[in-house]
Order: sequence, then structure tokens, then C-alpha cells
Amino acid sequence: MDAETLREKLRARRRAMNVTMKSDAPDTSVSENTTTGIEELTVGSSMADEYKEEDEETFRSVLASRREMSRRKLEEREKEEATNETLLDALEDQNAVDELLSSPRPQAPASNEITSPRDDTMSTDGTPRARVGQHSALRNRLQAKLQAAKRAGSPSGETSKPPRSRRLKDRMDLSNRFTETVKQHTVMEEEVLLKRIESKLKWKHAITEARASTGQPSDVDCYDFFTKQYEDVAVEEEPAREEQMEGVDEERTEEEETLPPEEQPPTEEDAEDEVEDDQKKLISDVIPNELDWRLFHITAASYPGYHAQLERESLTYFVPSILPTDITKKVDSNTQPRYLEDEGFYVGEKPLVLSKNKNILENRFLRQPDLGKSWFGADGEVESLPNPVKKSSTKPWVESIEDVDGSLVTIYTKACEEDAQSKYLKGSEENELQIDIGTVVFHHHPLMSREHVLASNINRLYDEYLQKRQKNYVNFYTDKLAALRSAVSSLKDSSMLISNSAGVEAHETRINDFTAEIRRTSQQLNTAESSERDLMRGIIAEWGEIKSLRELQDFTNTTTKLTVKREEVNQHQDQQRWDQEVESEVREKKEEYDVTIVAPYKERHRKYQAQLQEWKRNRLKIKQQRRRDQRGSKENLLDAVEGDEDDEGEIMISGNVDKPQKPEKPEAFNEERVRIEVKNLLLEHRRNPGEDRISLQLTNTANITPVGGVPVGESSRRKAMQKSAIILKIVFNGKDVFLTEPKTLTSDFKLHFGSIFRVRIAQWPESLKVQFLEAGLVRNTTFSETFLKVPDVTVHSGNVQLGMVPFVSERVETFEHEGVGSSTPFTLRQHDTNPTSISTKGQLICSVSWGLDGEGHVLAPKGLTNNAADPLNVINPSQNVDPVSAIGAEGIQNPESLSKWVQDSRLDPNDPENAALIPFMESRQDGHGFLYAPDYFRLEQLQEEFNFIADEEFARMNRLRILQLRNEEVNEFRNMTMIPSQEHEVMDSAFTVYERRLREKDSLQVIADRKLDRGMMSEHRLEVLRFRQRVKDAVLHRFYASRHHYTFLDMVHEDQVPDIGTLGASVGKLVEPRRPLKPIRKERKKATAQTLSEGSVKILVNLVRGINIPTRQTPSDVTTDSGTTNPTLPGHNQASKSFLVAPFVAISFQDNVVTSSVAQGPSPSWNEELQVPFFAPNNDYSPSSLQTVDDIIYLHLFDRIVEESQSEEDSSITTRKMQNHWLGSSRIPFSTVYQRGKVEGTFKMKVPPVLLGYELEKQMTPIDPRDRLDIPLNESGKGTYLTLFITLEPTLKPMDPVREKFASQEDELTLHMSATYLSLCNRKYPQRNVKTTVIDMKGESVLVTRYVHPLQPPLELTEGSDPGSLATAEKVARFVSLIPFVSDNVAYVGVCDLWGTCDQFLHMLCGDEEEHAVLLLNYFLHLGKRAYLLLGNAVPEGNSAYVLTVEETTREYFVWNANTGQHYLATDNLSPLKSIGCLVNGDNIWFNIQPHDQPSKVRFELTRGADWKPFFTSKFPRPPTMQSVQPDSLFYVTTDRSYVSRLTDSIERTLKEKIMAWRPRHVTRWNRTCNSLLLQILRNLEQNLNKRNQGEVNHGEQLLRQLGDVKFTGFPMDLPFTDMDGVVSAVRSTEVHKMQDPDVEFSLAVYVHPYPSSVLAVWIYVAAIVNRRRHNL
Amino acid sequence: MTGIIPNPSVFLVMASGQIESAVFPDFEELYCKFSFVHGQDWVVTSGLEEGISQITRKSRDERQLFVWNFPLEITYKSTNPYGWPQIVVSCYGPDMFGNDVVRGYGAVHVPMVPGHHTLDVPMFVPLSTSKLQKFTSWLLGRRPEFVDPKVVAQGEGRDVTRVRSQGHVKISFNVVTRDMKKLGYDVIPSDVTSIPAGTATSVVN
Repeated sequence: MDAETLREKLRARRRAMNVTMKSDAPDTSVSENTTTGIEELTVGSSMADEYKEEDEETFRSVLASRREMSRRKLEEREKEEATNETLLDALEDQNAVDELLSSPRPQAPASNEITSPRDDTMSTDGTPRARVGQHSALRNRLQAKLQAAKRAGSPSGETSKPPRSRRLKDRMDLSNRFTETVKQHTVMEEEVLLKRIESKLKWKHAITEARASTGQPSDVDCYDFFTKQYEDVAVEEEPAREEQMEGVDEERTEEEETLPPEEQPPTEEDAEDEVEDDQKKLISDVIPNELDWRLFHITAASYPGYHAQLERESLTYFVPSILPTDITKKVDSNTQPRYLEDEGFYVGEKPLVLSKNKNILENRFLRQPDLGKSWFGADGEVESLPNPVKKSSTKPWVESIEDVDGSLVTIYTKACEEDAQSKYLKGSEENELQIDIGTVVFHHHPLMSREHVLASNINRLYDEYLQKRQKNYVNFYTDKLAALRSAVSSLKDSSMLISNSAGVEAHETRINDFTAEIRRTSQQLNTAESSERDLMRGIIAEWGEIKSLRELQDFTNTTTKLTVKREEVNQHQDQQRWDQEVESEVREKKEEYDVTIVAPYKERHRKYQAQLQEWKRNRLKIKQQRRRDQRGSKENLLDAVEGDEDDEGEIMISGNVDKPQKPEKPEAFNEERVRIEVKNLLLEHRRNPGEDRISLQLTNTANITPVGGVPVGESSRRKAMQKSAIILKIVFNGKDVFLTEPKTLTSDFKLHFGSIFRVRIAQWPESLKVQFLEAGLVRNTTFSETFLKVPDVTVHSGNVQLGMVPFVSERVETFEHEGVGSSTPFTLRQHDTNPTSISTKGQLICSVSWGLDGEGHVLAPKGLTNNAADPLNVINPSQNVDPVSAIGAEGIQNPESLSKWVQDSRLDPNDPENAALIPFMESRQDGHGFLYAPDYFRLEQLQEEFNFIADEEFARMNRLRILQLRNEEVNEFRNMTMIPSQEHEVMDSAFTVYERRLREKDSLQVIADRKLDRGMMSEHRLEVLRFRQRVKDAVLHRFYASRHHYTFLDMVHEDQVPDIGTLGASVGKLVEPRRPLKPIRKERKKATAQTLSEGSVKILVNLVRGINIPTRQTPSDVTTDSGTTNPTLPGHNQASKSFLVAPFVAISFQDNVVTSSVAQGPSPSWNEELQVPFFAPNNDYSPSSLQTVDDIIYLHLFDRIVEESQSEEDSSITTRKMQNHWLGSSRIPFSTVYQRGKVEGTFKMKVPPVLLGYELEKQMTPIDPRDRLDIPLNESGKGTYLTLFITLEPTLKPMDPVREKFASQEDELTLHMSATYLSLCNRKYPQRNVKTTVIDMKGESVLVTRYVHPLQPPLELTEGSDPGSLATAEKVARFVSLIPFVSDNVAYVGVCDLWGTCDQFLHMLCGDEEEHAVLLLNYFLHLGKRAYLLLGNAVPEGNSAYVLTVEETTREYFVWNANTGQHYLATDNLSPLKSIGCLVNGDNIWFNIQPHDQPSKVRFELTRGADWKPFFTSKFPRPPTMQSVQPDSLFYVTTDRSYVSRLTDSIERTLKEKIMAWRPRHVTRWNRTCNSLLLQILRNLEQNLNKRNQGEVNHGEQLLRQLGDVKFTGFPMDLPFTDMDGVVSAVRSTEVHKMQDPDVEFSLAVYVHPYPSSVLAVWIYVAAIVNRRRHNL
Repeated sequence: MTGIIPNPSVFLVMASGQIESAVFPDFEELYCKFSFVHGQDWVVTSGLEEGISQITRKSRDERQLFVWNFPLEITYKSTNPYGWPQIVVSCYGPDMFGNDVVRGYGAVHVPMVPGHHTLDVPMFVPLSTSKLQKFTSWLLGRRPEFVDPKVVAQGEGRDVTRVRSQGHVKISFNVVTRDMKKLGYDVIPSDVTSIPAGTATSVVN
């Protein structure tokens, strides 16, 4: 290609550029320009001239300079021949860099944002573009271009095409990518990019210089050269590309890119500028224009000034005023504010808001465009209360009611009663309603003929007439009138005799009163008589109608017949009486006239006279004055003052100018006229003189025309009547209870049912309804219903009377036949113009009452109160349900009349009291509207739309179910982790435990059946189980709910502000000794649950020492018995003898057993710390979970016997046999350790009464002087003791007790006193145990003294022994101790300590210390002992309850542990009771305020105020009527013998199986002869239990005698029976089964001693017998 | 774990990143603790659940940054996005008396979407209940602290606390997930949009 063509192309290119620049800069609509094609490009140059804009001045100049430069370069280049090779060399780099650089340039005009420091001034205008987008686009383009440049292998113009199309494609791809928009480029990236560009530029610059030196074409030439080629191609390509591209943005940038703006053909203007440009060196000359640089215009920051700032702010800011707003703005402009309260409406109490804040709020509302109209109510106040009469009660605001209905789908879900219990009556006693349905009388019925209607009318009138007659008003008033008249006349007579004025006055008033009374009575007589006469007239007229109708229709339909009886009167006498009547009436009128008209007239006249006199005097004065005035004016006309005075005087006078009106004289009494009036009145209202007295009688004696004699219409009516039958249905609480027999209509439309229905009810009566059914062929149709009133308790079948209940039916019925129909118009009478329309109505004669049982008790439910007597009483739940009765409108049973009443009474719809009646206030469309008034709102009305799965499917999916259950913190699922993600991976077994529990809860009956078969669980125990489960569930629920309530302390750890005490302590800390001589145990830090993991918690048992451990039998015994045969070596024998016993302790907990080292001697000292690992359930170490741990720490004391025997063959082999002999055990519940943090003290071990081979009493005199120390201990108490310290490592945080205020039946004063008493006591001695109120099983707090009440112990215990003796007491205590012990902590999760009453305790057969102690105390009280409930601290149980008895004679105080049945002297140091907090009996509570609380140091004189603080004092005496919560007597069920024997067998069988199972590798032989022997011993033991252990010593001998020379290991155990597992584990813990002698035989005896009330003592004797003889042989 | 499991039962979430820096205007020295809190269906398969950083001083330029660049790396295995892991960061530093004082708590969810994320976690501290408390706690250097820093990752009980904001911490995460889509959880926007209309309706039905 030669230079000429090159130039040609360049020129064309420049023209194109020009166009682009112009069009680009102002409106950026590049695409338009470029796509129109090349034609426009050629025209473009002229457009460049037109395009003049001031903004572009700087831009132009820059362009011009550039052009200039490039022109010069071109000229240079023209001189030199461009060689292809060099061009090619440069091409690759050039292309890359050039494109790189040119790419941002086209965008520059389109952006006024400063993207880099090198942006030039071209970008002073144009549309803003997002910076981010620009940069991302930039980068993309750069990448694409670089790639394209690499590809461009040849210098030809075509090479640029593929890269470009590729670019396009890339970009198109990118544009589809979501990620592109997501990506964000930070400033850092931008900088990096720019740096890269800069470095490239430097490099490029160097090249340019090199080129310039070598004469190569410059960049611009190269660029133009190639882009020139592009033009031609682009034109062809344009349309195709257009189709491809979718986003205008991409297109534009693409186009801009291809048309770099550097070059423009020089125009004339430019040429002129050139000269200047040469002289002025612009910045553009210095910086290479390839760099897309821009010029910043930096101006100083402007300060508009404070006031200007304020002004500007005031435009945007709004500070709401705190001043009250103008009320007129808040209500509609043309209305006045309405104050509903003033109008008498109920207005609720608005929430208290500071008026300041309210004003601010209102001011804000007023700023809103609509002035916040919707926020203000009619009174101009912000509506801060919900509208009480809002119709749709949806929670979210909706436009209109249609919206709600449209979007909501109504799903019918079966209504479930939340509290079904309350609907049902308590107890199982019979409650019976008697409903007596007498007669149904139709006043109108559709099948009535016209005659019937008339007859019904006449009947009604006649009824009314009869009523009137019965009351006999006429006679009554006549008599009264006569009596009054005679009284008046006699008064008048006597008035003559009275002389003094006061008497006369009183007399006159009396006469006046009487006359007034006479007037009233005569008027009443008039109305009464006239109404009666009207009635009679009406009846007769109606009768006439009937008669005429009968004649007209020529048949008779009704039996109605009217008889008129006429009573002849004496004409003359009658007339005389009548005249007399008239006379007296007239006289009375006259008197009345005198009193009411004449007397006032006289008075007025007198006044008038006086006034007239006055007036006349005035008149005279005026005249004189006038005369004087006239004279005066003539004398001094100019005296203005005078004139004024005159005027005034004139006015004064003129005011008096009126002459007083003379009172009108009343009309004179016209006697004649009055007489006529009276006569007329009497004639009108009363029986006329001489007129016969008429009495009417309506009889049903008329004969009905038989069917044969009537027309068709009538006969078809009669047929219809015969077919029509009515049934009554009685509906109680919406449930059908009765249906009467169908009764056919009779011609008189009276249906006599005459039946009494007895309804036995189990629910509270809410409504009682009678439905009237019309019997149909297929089904009965209800045409009416009426409500009956549920009677009061006083109404029973003995005293009830039949009443009328009206009913109405609105059903429209028309017939073809003679029947008039119902609610449909018909002409009743021939001459009637208006048709009448009557709806079916009638009366039901019935009664409702409560039934009576055989003894005459009313069978009404208890608690149904007499509503009429006490409308406020709400015990009857029906009052809450029934809106009608809730407002006290009890009598209204008919909803129709109720709604009428509501409308009439104009209730305030805003008053919440009337909420139940709101539906009545609206017009009722359907008859039942009020029953289904919406009482709900929808909380999540769009829930359906957001459900991702249907509810049914949700319920079906196991995985979702697990997730849901876990979320609800159901116990089994609470700590589940990694719930499988797929439905099929969820095992069905995951629910088995949970479902089993649910099943158990629902129907314990199932297990009952199962277990009863095995004879293990009596029904009684099952019931107990169920009850306990229920209580436990309730408590757990409450507990978990409370766990989600956080307090500040739970969340934030904050140091308390130090008060003076803590400051002092911290100061004191500085001076306290480093190592105090008496160190105080510091509270260890409690570990929180989060930091704990499995295995990190241990129980630390610090075993200190044992006391009085049973010793092996004396060596003499051993030697005599088996001295020669004993295989043990003499030396070892000696050694073992020296310490008598080798005890060690095994602690077993949660399947772990830890043993201590073996010590020596009966009083060993281990001083050893044992660690037992603790595992929390579900690995959850939170307090709530630990609370439920009911594991027990067992401490077993063993004696290790080592037998060494030398093998017979080889004397060098010595066989050692180790055997552990169980000596006793003790148990400490984990809950105790957990709750108390530590348990320490000396515990008594439970040692069996007989330990074969061991001596319980130590008989040896100690040789070792150290043993002397033990003497006092050994003397003071019998039994074996262990000194222990048990704690947890780390200390777990015990559950904070849930402090809840429990409901109580105690009165307020008592509760208040109890609170004060408690706080006083706790302040003084916080450690001491004191209780005033405790929580009973119902969850109500009860005063503790109410629990104390003497109760009769079972007779068998007290029979045949002195009730006061200690032996009896021990027996009773044994009985109580045999009731199983279950800690409340475990049963009720420690949250609350529930106290059951004794009957509940015996019923449940389990309880903790309190229940045991209370029962024992009550027994003791019954036995006549002085006994108290002792609340204190004991080991190991901590806060505990004991019983204190006082032996009156010996002044000995015994402390009884009711759990074990043991008793101790109060002075006994080894008794488990460690401190005494308070004593309680039925009368009072005494708190121990002595400095010491150890039982041995406490003085028990309760009257000493310095030692004991009583609860009831003289100031606050005990209420005399303090009822005990305990029953009066306990009922003891005799224990089922067969059950006991079954149980014995069962235990024995199970134990044998177990023992065999525990010895899997050995054969277990049973020595049967021994069994019976052991059984005998057990029986004896039980019987001798209370006889001071007499037979024990010899029973061992007895055994040995029987069995011969055997080695016998074993012991009897007795334990209360709880369940089989307890027995088994007790036996297992003795480790008898571990006897490994090959010849061992086992013997087992089980004896269950039944006590009353299923209290069982289980005795088990397990023995291992080794026959020594056989062994040795 | 090699190969592609056609029907996985768990999905994996791996998050690596850094606690990069913090801005706390008023303090000089800071260190931070982090811990991941996750729901019951989540198990850490590798990486550290908790950690404590070095003490850093404020940068002396105008940015006033505390830079830790403390690496985080954790891999979770889970069956259920419920309880998605959160990182709880708590910052501590000495006050003017040299007592170690809490400077802020903050928590943020590990991003669900794979890719690189930079999170800005605003920090806050609980306030003293009274002015007197505030003074004594300042004096004694024992400011109120949350009993367990992890409470900031849960909503329960927060209503009883009053807090003040203190600054913010910048955490960057690179998140990789695996098998989430197979288990039916779409978190990547392209996944969400690319569900064909047909399958979308079938899901609904």
C-alpha cells in the first residue's frame, strides 16, 4: 500500500472521528451514528462546524493541539517510506499497547468522574457512568484486547477483525454472567491497573523515541493504518453485529473503542489555533496524549456562611415542635372535633404518653402530605387504642373486608375445647334435669282455616276477658269508691266539732287527700269497666264474624261457641244507684272546683287589689311630677342637667305606667253542664242503668261438620292436617337428647304431649332448647325453636309449675286448600280490604326442673349457683360461655327478643362490657349470627403461601418431625445432633422411645395389662405412676419455659458496686495471715455447663475413716469350729487375726465401681480420695438436665478375706483366695450431692441385723492405746459409721430455684406475716431450715401447721400394746419407714418441694422426708405423744424433716428419722440430725433462735421467748378455725394376700434367675433344705424386730446346728418394696454371687411381710454355703 | 472422602480467611478471640473452633488500623443449614490502668455463598447498669462482660442487655461448599436463577 492510499484512508478516518466526537460528546448516542453507515460519516464533517458549544472550548483546544502534533508527524512520515518489516515488528506490541491505551479513551467523554489522575479535560461533560462498571468493563476489554493482539499475526487490516468479534463474544458472555455485577473492584485494584499501564507507557515511550530515531512510523500511523482498514469491513459487518448485540451499553462502548477520538481533520478554526498552539506549550504537549489524562480543576473549599447553612438546613431538616398542635388541623376542616366521651360513649383509657412526646408525634403527622388524617380520631387525638367495634379482627391492616376474604382460605378444623374438663361437671354424682313437656298450643298455624284464625282470636280475647273477670277490677274499684266517700262524709261531719285552727288545717288536708283519691279511683273504675266492656264487645263482634263465616261456608270447623249470659237487674234500684252516683260525682266536681279554681282565684284577686292600689298611687305621683316639669322648663330652658334629670324621671315613671291586669274571673260552676258531662262519661264507661249484666262464656260445644259435608278445599285441608305431625326435640348444650313421639294436629291445634323427660347431665348446662319439628316422610324439618331457661338449684320437680314459653316461626307457607298459610297474606274477613298475614306462633306449656333423688335431694350440679340471687357469681362456667347470661340478662332466652332489647336499650358499642352483644347490634341476617361472632384474628394469614410443604406431608416426614420436636425441646430429642439430611436416613426407631412415652402417658392401661400378668405391679401402683408422671410433666414444662427467661445477671457479668463492707473486707485481706491456723473452706468456682464435656466431671469421695465395723467372729470360735480343718496357714492366720477385719469400701455409681484400699481393724482410717466419673444424661451438663439425674451413690462396706492354701501336690504353690464379704451399705442420692455441693459427715451404714461370721458388737477391750479414742464413740452408738466427704469436681452450678408466687388459700394477712417471719428468721440465721408455707400437690401454698393433725395408725400396729410405749412407737415408725422414699428433687426436678397430705402419701406410696415425717408425727399425736415436726439439717439429705418426741415422764427427747424408722436421743452425737431449724405442730411454728443448733445443745423449752420465736403470737394469734389439710381419718386397705404371695414368688424366681445369670461360668446349685430354714428365720426377724434384737445371736447357732459343719456366708436384708429392680440391685450389691468356691451352694429365701395399704417389707436372705466337710474330703 | 459421592448425606462448608483488621478509634492495643458457634446439626471436621490472636498496636498513619491478619480455617460437615455457623469475635485490650478490658463483641454468619467475602463486623460492649457502676468498673478495670461471649450469636436474652457500639472488625472469608446443591440447597445466585421453570413448578407441587 502506498502513502497516497494511506492518507486517503486516514482522512476518511478522521472525518469519521469528527462525527463520532461531536455526536459522542453532547449526547453520547454513538450507536445511532455509527449504525447508520458510512454515508453519515461523510456528512459528519459539516456537522462538526455546526457543533459549537462553549463547554467544548478547552476540549477543542486540546484536540487542536493533538491534531497539530499528529499532522506534523504525518508530514514527517510522508517524507519517509514506511517499510513493511518495521511496521510488522512494531505491530504486535503496538497493537496491544495501543488498544490498551485507547480503550479508556472513548469512555472519557462519557464520564465526568475522575477515574485516574491522567484523565484529561475532555471529560467535563457527558453522562455519568458507574465507576465500578467502567472499571470492570475496562479490565475485560483490556484482557480481550491483549489476547486479540497476540493473535494478530499479520499486519493486514483483516487481522483486527477476528479479535474484535472475539471481544464482542467475550463481552456478551460476560454480560450474561451474574458474577460480573457482583464483583466489585476496590481502589487498590484500580491503582494496580494504572501502574501497569504507566509502566507500559514508559516502555512505549522508549519505543517511540527509538522509532523516531530510526525513522519508523509512529504509533499513530500504525494505529491509523490498521484502523483504516477496519472502516471498510465494519460497514459490511454492522447489521449482523447489531443483531447479535442486545445491550446498548456494550454496543456503544464497542463503537467508541473502535473510534478513538485523537484525530480530526483540521478545520479552518483549527488552523487559526495552530499558530497559538505553536507558541503556547500546553500540558498536552508535555504529556503523551496516548495516556488518557485529564485535567483537574481545583478550587478552594467554599464556606457558605453559618446563616446560609442554616437556611439550607431548614429546607431539609424538620424539628418537630413540642408545642401542642392546632386541633383544627387534625380534624376535617369543615367539622368540629367530636368528643365521644362527652357524648356518653365509652372511651377506653389511653396509654400514658408524655404530652411532649405526643405533641412531637402529632407535629410529625401533620407534616405528612395528607396531614396524617388517618392517624387522628374524631376528637383530634392520635388514635392510640384499637377500634372497639372493628368488624374484621385480622391483625394486619387490610384495605377492605373483601381483601381478607379473597386472600384467605377458610379451612375447617374441628373445634377443640381447650379445657374440656371445665365443661364437665365435677364428680360422678347424678345430675338430672326434668323437662316436662305439657301442651303445644298454636295460636296460628298454616293449616288453620279462616274460622280457626277467628276462633283463635276469640279464644285469645276470651282468655283476656277471663283474666279480667277473675281479677274483678270493677267490683274492687266500686267498693273502694264507696268506702272513700263514706270516709269523706264522716270526716266532714266531724270537722264541725274541731275548733282550733291547726286541727282544722290537718282535717282539711285529709279531706283533700281523700277527694283526690276518690277522683283517681273513679277514673280507674271508668277505664276498668270500659275496657271490660270493650273486650266483651270485641268478643261478641268476633263471634259474629265466626257465625257469619260459618253461615257463609256452610260448615263448622271449630268447636267454639259463645254463650252470653244475661243477668236481670232491678231497674228501679239500679236507676237510683246510678243517680246517686251521678250526684256524688257532681258534688265532688263542685268541691274540686272550689278547691282548684275558686280558691286560687280569690288569692289572685286579693293580690290584684293590692297592686292596683300601688299603681294608682304611682299614677298620682307621675302626674304631679309632670306638672312640675313643665314649669321648670319654662324657667330654665338651658339647664341641660335639669333636662337630663327630667328625662330620667320620665323614664322611671313610664316604666310604671302599666296598669295591673285584673284577674279574669273564673267561670261560675255550671252545675247542669257538669251533670251532663258526668252522665255522658258514666254512660260511656259504665254499665247503663237498667242494662243487664252480661257475662260471656266460651265453650267448645259446637259440632264440627264431618268431612262428608264440607267442600273440597276444606276436606283437603283436613287431610293435610291429619298428615301433619309435630315432633319436639330437646337439645341440651347443642346436643340432641330427646325426641318425642310425633303428634298429629287436632282440629283445635293443641297438641298434648304430657310427658316428662329426665336428662342426666354431665356437662354444665349452657343452653336448653326445644325444637319443633314437622314430621316428614323422609326427614323432619325444623320450623321453630325456643329456648328454655335452665332452672335455679331451688327449682326441683317437687315445686315446679308449668309455664308458657312462646315460640314463633318465620317460615312462609301457602296452600292450595283452605289452610291460610303462614307469613303469607290472606283475607280473613269478607269485607276486609287489607289482607292480613300471620306467622306461625304458639305457646309451649312446659316446665324444667332439677330432679329429686329417693331421699329428696335436688339433683342439681354442685357449684351451680343461684343466678338470680347473685348475678356476679361466676362459678357457673356457663356464664362465661353464654354471652347473654354474661351480661346478666338472664331471663332473655329468645335471641330475637334479645336483639330487639339490645337495639332498644341503645347500648354503647364502644364499651368493652358490651362486647358480647356487638353482633346483636348489627342487623342480623341469619338467625344464628350471634352464636358465631368472630372471636379471633388471623395471625399469619399468608402462612399458606409461604409453606414450602403441605401440612400433611410435613407431618408425614420423619426428619421434619424430629427437627420440630427438637425445637420444642422434647426431652428425647433435645440434644440430638446431626439429624440426617435425607428423609430415608431417619430411622423409624428414632421415635420409639418418645412414642412409647407418649403411649404410656396416654394409656397406662396397656402396660397395666402387660405387667399385671407378671404379677409385678398392682393397679394401685400404676395409678401412682400415672399421677407422678403427670405432675412431673407439668413441673418439667414449667421448668423448661422458665429456662428461656434471662435476667441481666444471666447475660452480663458485672461487678457489684463495692459497699463499705466489701471495701473493709478487701482492706482486711491485706492484714490477714498468709496461712491461717484455722483455714476456712473457700467456695469453689462453679463451672458452667458450656465448658464441660464428657468425662470431665467426677465425684470426689474423701473416705476418712470407719467406726465400729463388724468384726469377724472371735478366733476362739474359728479354732473350735474349724481349727484343724482350716486350711489357712498358722502364720497368716495370726496375721489376719491381729486385725480381725479387713474392711474396704466400694463406691458404685452409674455402673462404675471404685474401691478403696483395704484397711485393717474395726476402726479403719483410709484417708483416701476416690474419684468416680460422672456422666450426664445425653451429655448435657446444664443444670436442668443434671436436675433429673436420679442415680444413687452406693457405698458398700466389704471385708476382704484372703485364704491361702497350699497345693497338696506341690507345697511351693500357694493358692490365694480372696473373698469379699459384704458388711453393709449406705446410699446417697446424687441429687443431694448436686444440690448441696458437698456432703460431709459421719454416716451410719445400714448393716444387716445378722451377719453370719461377724460380730456386730465389739467386745474386745482395746489394747492399743490409740483405740481408746474410739471408746466414747463406740459407747454412744451402736452400729457402723463411715466418715465421708463427697463433692463434685468441678462444682456444678445448681439449679436456681424457680421463684414463683404460688396461689394460696391462706388469707392475705397470714401470707404477709409468713413472709415477714421468714425474712426475719433468715436474716438472723440464714442456714437454719424454716418453713411457714409449703406447696401442696395442687401447687398452692399452704401453711405448714395445717399438715399436723392426729391420724389413726393402722390398727394392727397398735393392737395389743400400750399406745404410749416406745415399742408401739417403733412399730409405727417401722411402718412409716417402709413406705418407699423418692426425693422430690428427682420426682419434681427440684424446682419445688411438694408436700403431699398423708392420704396422698399413702396413696402414692412414695414421698420424701417431709411426707414421712408428717405421717409419723400424726401417728404419734394420735398415740398421745407430745410430738413436733422438726425441720433441720441432717446428713446426708441436707434440709430434712424429723420428728421430735418428748417423753413426759423421763424428760427425754427423741429424734425420729421417719425414713429409716430409727430414733436417737437428742443428745446423741452420732445422730444424723445436725441442726434444728424449727419445730412445728398443729398450733404453731417455733424458730430456733438459740446460738447453737446442734440437737445436743438445744434447749427445748418452747415457751422461752429467748430460745424460740413463735409464728403465732399474742399479736397475731392463730385463727381459731384453722382447718387441717389432712383427712380426718385414713383408710387402710388391707393388702391383698394373694398379691403378696404372687409377689414373693416373683421376687424369688427373679432373684434366682439373676444370680444364675450373674455366674455365667459356674454352676449354681441351690440348697433347698436351707431355704425353708432361712425363711423361718426371716419370719422371726420380722416379728422380733421390735423386741430389741433378742433372737439374733442364737439364730446363727441355730443355723449351724441345722446345717452341720458348713461355711456360711450370707445375711438377711430388709427393704421397703418399690419395684423389682430395686430388690435385684440390692442383692447384687452384696456380691454374694461372687463366691467362687466350686462347691458353693446357694440358698435364698424371700419373705414379704404385708402391712396395710400395700406397704410391704421385703426380707431377703441370700446365703452361700460351703460344706466344709465335703470340701475337705 | 475421595471421589464423587452420588447421594451424599452431608454437605461440607469450608471457610478460610483472616481476621484482617479492626478499627477502634479510642484504643491503643488490642487482641481478639474468635470462636465459631454452630447449630446442633453441624460438626467441625477440621480446623480450629476457637483461637486467640496476638496483641496489635494501632497503626501510626491516618487509617488508625489494628491489623492482625489472623488466619481462620475451619471445615464443617452438616446435614441442615439451620444453625449455620457464625464467627463470634471478641476484642480485648488494656485500659489506661493496664487492666485487660473487653473492647467489643461481634458476630457474623460465615457467608453461605461460595467465593471471597469481606465482612465488616460491628462491635459492641455491654453497658453498666448505673452511672455508679460505670464509674467503679472504670476505676477497677472490671467492665461488664457477657457471661459467655457466644451469647452474641443468639437472640435469646439479649433484651435484658444494653450495649454500646465500639468499632468494627474486618474479616475476610473464602468459602467453599460441597454437595449443598445435591442436598437441595441453592445458595449460588446462578443456581437459583438457572432452575428451569418446569422443575420449579414441580418443586412447588
